[in-house]
Amino acid sequence: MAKNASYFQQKRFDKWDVLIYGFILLTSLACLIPFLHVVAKSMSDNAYVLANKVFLWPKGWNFEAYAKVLADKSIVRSLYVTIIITLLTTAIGMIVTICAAYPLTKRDLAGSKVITFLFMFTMFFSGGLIPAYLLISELGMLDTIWSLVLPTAFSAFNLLILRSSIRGTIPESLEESARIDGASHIRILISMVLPLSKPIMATLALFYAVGRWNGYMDALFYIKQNVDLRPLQLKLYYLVVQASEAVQIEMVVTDLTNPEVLKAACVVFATVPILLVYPFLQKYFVQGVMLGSVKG
Amino acid sequence: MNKKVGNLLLASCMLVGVLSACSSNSNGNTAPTNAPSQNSSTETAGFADYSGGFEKQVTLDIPVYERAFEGWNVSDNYYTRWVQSEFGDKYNIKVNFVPINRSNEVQDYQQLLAAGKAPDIIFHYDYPQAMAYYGQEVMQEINWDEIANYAPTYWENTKEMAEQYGVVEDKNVFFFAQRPDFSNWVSIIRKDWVEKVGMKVEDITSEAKYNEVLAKWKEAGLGVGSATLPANVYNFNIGKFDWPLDTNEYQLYRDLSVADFSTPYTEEWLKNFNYQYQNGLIDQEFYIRTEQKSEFVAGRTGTYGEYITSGTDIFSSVLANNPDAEFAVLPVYTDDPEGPVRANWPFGFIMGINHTSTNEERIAAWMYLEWLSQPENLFKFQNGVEGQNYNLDENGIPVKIEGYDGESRLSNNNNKDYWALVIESPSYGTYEETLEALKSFWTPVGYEYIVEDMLKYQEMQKPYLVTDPLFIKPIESLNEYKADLNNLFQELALSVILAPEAEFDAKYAEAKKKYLDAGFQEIIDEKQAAIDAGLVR
Amino acid sequence: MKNTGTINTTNETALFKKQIKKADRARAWKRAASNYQLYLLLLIPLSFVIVFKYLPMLGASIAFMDYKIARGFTGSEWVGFEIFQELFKKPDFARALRNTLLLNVLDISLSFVMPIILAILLNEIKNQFFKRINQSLLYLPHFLSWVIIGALAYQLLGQGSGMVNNLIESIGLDRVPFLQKDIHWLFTYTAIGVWQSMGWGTIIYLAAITGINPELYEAATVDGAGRMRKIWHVTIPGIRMTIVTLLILSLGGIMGGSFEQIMALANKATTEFTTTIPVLVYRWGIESGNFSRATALGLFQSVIGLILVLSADKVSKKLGEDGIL
Repeated sequence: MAKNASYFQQKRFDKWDVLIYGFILLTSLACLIPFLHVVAKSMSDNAYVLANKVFLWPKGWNFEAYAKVLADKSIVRSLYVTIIITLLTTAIGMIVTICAAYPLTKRDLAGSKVITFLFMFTMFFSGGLIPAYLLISELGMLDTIWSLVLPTAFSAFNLLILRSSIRGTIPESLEESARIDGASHIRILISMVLPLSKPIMATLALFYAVGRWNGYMDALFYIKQNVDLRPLQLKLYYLVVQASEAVQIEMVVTDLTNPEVLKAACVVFATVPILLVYPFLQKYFVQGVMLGSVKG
Repeated sequence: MNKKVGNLLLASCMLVGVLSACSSNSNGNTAPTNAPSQNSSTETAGFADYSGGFEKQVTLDIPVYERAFEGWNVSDNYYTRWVQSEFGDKYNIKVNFVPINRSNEVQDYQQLLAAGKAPDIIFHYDYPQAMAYYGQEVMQEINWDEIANYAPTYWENTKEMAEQYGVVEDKNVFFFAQRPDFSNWVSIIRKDWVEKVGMKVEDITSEAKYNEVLAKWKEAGLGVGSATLPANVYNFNIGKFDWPLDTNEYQLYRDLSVADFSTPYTEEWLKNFNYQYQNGLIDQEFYIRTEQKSEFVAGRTGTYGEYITSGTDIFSSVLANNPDAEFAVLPVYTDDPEGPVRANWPFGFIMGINHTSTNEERIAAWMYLEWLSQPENLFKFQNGVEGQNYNLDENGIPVKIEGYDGESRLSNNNNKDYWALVIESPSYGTYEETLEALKSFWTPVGYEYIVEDMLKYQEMQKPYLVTDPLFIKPIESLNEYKADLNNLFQELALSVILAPEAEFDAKYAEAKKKYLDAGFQEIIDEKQAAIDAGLVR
Repeated sequence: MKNTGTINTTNETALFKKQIKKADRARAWKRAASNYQLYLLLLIPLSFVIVFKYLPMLGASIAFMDYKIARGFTGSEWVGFEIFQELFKKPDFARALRNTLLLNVLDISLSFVMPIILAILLNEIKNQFFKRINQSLLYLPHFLSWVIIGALAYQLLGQGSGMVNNLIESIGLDRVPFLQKDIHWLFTYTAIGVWQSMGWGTIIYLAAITGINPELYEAATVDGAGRMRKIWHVTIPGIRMTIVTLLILSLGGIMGGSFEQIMALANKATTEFTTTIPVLVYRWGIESGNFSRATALGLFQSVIGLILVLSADKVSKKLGEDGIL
């Protein structure tokens, strides 16, 4: 087929490829090496880490920090909690975002400008920490899982990205032809627009997921009595804080601490799960979605 | 035109529709309007007798620091249940322990206060922040006699402090927890380095001699002294003040929360710092360090200070990287002209009663403090159950049973966050007995001599201990400029330190003027007025 | 329509216009009704946003009050613009304003462009394995907190004992004060910012690139276009809408920035550029516990950001782009 022939033609490796591959390789090394450094620190002996003698390879193999993290039985529980809230936030977030983005792709929808402005406005203005806390408190969501899911489930930024992406990839003529055929808006959305927007949806799902996964400041204040509901990042944050705390005012015995190594182990522990997710999402970023027949 | 109006109409219709659907959500932005500030001076002759308990159950909310210790629930554990059964049930009080994040406590308190969910007691360790709470009007006025009535033991222990420090603008606001005078801050020096250059640690008895040691270290290529720029806690020039003290001057310029950059004492301190830096005697990149430990552990610096505990890893870490290292405590500068030494505050927690607490809740709080101050209750809270958590040795000092994991297990910091409301450190009888017990907490195995020397030098400093001045009136300009001045101080001090020695005087004069103009002069003026009005302790 | 001549009575014209308006309106309502499903869809996110974003926004009013926690929102004294005036008069404010603009403009120019370049280059890579691995590696920095990055930066770039400087010295050059002299600090700061965000930024562009119709590439090949011309004429125009949208949105952050990034990389010897508005929000607001001030500064940031975005939107529309609204 003509398509395959052109594909073969492009397989020649030319001088540009060398430059491109080289540049990409150098750049990703620059990104990898600091991370390797953190991993190395997490497996090293505390004394060497303190003296800044650890670079890319662990010195004085020591898995005490990992043992400490895993010995905390509630870590597994918090991992479970984090997975739940990440999934919930992503699911709810995507639904809400799609419901907002799709209608707004229609330029001729009455009121679309005002509504878009309403959404966009929330990207710039917020009430601050105390009003946010008051809201959660009044809604009775303190110490519940919803305080960690609902407030962050919608991002106007993602909405605007989705909207411009749909506008860009799905020609109006396609939707027109479906409308003429008698399909309702919701039907078009579900059977046509969504399947054709897989890459951007995978992207936004990733954004929601990673945003929720990394955040812990809200849990710090909203989850107090219900300790089972602490997400992973919060527990790791506490572990590090405990270890680094100076003992001056306390004057009581506390456990042996090794904050530097512990910090590094916590970074690894918190990052690796989400890193493992991305390769699975990559299949949605496939090139060349076949656009169906377009009339006229 | 019509289209635009149509659009607007449409949008507002939708909004109204949505809003009415959400009308069931109350607007959470109004301040809680329950119990107004209680002015306890309305209590007429005699106080109600609640020794039989309250008629109607009272809910007492007590704050506890939340440090997220593994497997520990601050609101519900053996000890909270014990408090409820021994104290709460007796008086018909429901005791609630409210967790407060240790690392973001001010924000936590502010959110709880705004939402009306804050505990009955509001506490903090720093006086300026306690004053800030007062400024936010979240504390109610208290009657000393009421405390004396319901909490006689507690009041006996702490009334001096309350009367001295707890009265702000003629209102009784703060009450305190005791803080026995113990300190475990130690300055360590590399003994092997000192001896290598032919000197003895005991001979380092003045600043000049210290600089001499550093110079010799530099010559021998051993390393440098550590140095750090003060931040947030300004204690650096206290030793240079004239002795005996000029009280007015001391009260005017000595402040833990904002640095002084105008007295000759600061100039002296900076001059020495500049001398040390320009001659390569101290860490040349000290200003980019976020902590001193790594340089000491790596063997590049020879001095280090920390709060020592038995679990410290400083010695083992240094030895791992420098197997020949030996340690000693840096002596007190007895040769230098005498100067004051900062004494710790006699109080630990500074506390106030929540402005929304009812009379009964406040009285219940006094009763709780009273109960907590009873020696047997305090002892149990601090040590646990005999035979399970500890055994008494021949002196009656409890010795912890390692590895006890049963029901009455203490929190990782020995329940400190619970009993700190009345006292900052465990008490084991007399001052000496307590000191002995604390020494066991402080001493890593094999380094008893470090702790002994530390205590020896502390003894030598005792005649010079002076507490910081405390203004019992909020100093407005302090709150206004403090944050900026602290930032400016570091910038200016560093610019003076990094300048060549010949330029020191000019640079210092320039910096001093800048600092004064940036608000420090205003602070001084306001403080002087307060001193003249007798509003300082 | 037949041209019946140029003479029409004003009455006829008026009647004619009225009829058209009526027809227009009827059509508009008919269209709105047929779009009822779309409005229903919008109801969900709108209610979300009203509850979780607009309700708390009322709390921003404390920027106009002498807010005391005990008095709450309704009890605190109203002071109008006093707090703003106080803020603007402070000497540090002018410096912070300058620095914020400087750092953000640098950031937008460099951090914005880099992900686009990377995405395009990644797209050119045919070996799927190489492409996937590198994609994943590139966004590792996004997961490191600024505290860690700051510590690492000083370890590597410190003038006295930093590894990079050790390397530089070993090849015979002078040690470079990457973070310890003002101008150097400015560039290092920007470079680190680019490094931290470039990988994550490629995700959106790569997704957008996959949306480009492959037939366009084939057509270009047929026309004899080489690799570079294909990038210029197919790839870049294909993601133009995404680029414009993101550019406009990033302009909204012109008064913002990351407080943690400054705190992690700043030191007291290079303070020329390190006071920014987010730093002041932290220092005057959170550190001092002064909420009215923090909120006032935040409002200032938001208003400027919004104005900029709206202006950029207008400009982009004039240039023929789609814009945000």
